[in-house]
Amino acid sequence: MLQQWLYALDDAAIADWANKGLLKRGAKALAACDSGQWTLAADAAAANIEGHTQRLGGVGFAALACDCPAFGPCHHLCAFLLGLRERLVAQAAAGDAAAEPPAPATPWLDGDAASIEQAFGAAATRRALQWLARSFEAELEEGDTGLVGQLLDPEEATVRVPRAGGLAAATCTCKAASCAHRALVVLQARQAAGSAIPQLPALGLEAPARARLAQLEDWLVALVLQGCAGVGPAFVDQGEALATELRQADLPRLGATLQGLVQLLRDDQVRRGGAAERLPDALAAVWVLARGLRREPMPRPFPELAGVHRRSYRRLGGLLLHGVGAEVWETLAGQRGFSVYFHAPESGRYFSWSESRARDLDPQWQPAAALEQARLAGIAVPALLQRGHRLECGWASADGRLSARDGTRLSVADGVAPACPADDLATPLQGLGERLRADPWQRPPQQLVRLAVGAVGALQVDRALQRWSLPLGDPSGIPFTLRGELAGFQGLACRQLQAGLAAGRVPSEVFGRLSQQGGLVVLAPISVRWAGAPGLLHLSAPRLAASRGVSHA
Amino acid sequence: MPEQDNLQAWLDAGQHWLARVQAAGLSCAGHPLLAEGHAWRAQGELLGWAPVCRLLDLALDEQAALSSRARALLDLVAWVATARRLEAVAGLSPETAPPASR
Repeated sequence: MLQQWLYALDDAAIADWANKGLLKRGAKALAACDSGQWTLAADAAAANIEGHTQRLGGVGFAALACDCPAFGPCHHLCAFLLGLRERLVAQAAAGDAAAEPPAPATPWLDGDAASIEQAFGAAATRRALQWLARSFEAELEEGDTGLVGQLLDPEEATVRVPRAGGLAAATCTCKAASCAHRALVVLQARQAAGSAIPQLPALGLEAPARARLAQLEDWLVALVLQGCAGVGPAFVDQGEALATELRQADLPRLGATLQGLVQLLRDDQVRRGGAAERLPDALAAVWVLARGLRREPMPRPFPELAGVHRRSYRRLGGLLLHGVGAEVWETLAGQRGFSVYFHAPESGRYFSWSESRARDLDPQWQPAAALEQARLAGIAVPALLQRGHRLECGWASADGRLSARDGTRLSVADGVAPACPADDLATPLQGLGERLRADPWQRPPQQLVRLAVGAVGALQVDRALQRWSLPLGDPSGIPFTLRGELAGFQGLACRQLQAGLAAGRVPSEVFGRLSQQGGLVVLAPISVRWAGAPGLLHLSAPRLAASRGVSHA
Repeated sequence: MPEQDNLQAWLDAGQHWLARVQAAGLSCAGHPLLAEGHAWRAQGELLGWAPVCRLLDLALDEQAALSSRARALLDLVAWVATARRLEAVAGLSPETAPPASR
């Protein structure tokens, strides 16, 4: 069994266990050492590399040991594994009769339901069963070398279970000695094949989540009884603390929804326009989710009701990006920041790169000034917005947020035509309608669109609701409304539009966030292109040099 | 579509009434506000929304426990808001949208 595992061991599995750098160093160390003195028996192996002794006492990476000072995987052990595999491959090529018979084809299906707990431990198996019960699933692919499982939620990991070596030889990119990711992949494969798995837990909430939901219900009942006008700041603070606790109890969607209600209550207390109008909807959103989570069975899949924490970033390469807008923003919770938006013409997707600071923690930081000075992969924002760039290496989340982490590389995309058509409003509208019909209470993902303008109405300012709106129509006649608040950076956007319209300019294209509000198609604008003008106007950051940006054909 | 208009008007009236109850607080809602609720209930009965009327009966029942009344009111808030959202989505279709002013 040991030799079968070593024979079938591929570089990807060694890299998952160690890392690519150690694997490379191991290959170099192997080339420089004499492997003739190594011993390889049916159930053990030993070697001496660079003056250190390596031993393998059974199947799996956990059975490896090296007496060098490194903690965990080292390049000696990588060299050891590569050398042992090399020797077995050579023996097989020479038709060595000592070679053992082939391993069972699907070790993840072997044994009874208890074998999973024996291999991965009771805690990891229990956690994996909870994930499985809550519909968190890995994408499974069975190949020649074994089973590969890609897990994105609730955590990102790649699991490999080799055909030779059994569950003990399974690896995971989380690098823990034993983990729930491995257990989930095996459980899922067994479930799909009809093999026995331990009983799935009842799809109930864990005790902390149940306790937080009960507290939330009491808080909501108190809010309804006292009335929004009757509650004090301490009560609202209590709601805010509860929102944080709900996130910590793995209910991020409910936490974020409650946070929205709390912000509206704060706005209402300072008589901020429009807050009272939006309160019933916000209250209903929290109640619907809380009720749904407490029902058995739940009316919608658990991950949909509970939400997922901010997803991790995945590596991207070769992505062509055109700057389409930049904005400066401030949230009601006191977070200030800027975002730069890009269009990827090859996929039609939008990406954003943001930086932010808490106002209380860094009062000196000014987002508008920071935007003008900011650089992504060494390229200043005006340059990013002026011409196309290719993201040679970078990281992005599933919802299109770019990370600015070290190693991000951008190059100027020469010879790429910047013109590409604006979005067809009918398409995102259809998607918006379908998603809302499927779940009227979902928090729709931020939908960025670039729309050509065919009709322009008059800009209206509603002092009572403290907001402004500008009715527009796309070239096919579908109406939409630009809308923002009168205060803050959105108020600055309003003044920019007012000034342009007063000067007789006509918008030819707008870029922003699409949503529906009370049956109206609303666009929160980020940038606008005036007809006949060469550049984009970034409405909340007008000092940013007007960039040429991408224009519709 | 007069039926749809009736429903929309009834939902809008309900939302308005619920917003006022939420602002004042159910425990402080006076008789005029509760009487408006009864009137809204009567309209709902005519439109055939019996389950909503039962929720409203509990929310308006001054003999019932306050926490039960508050829960019923929250259910009502959720029901009305969901119905309004679905009505709004129905009006989102580009084909049915009126043209923008030029």
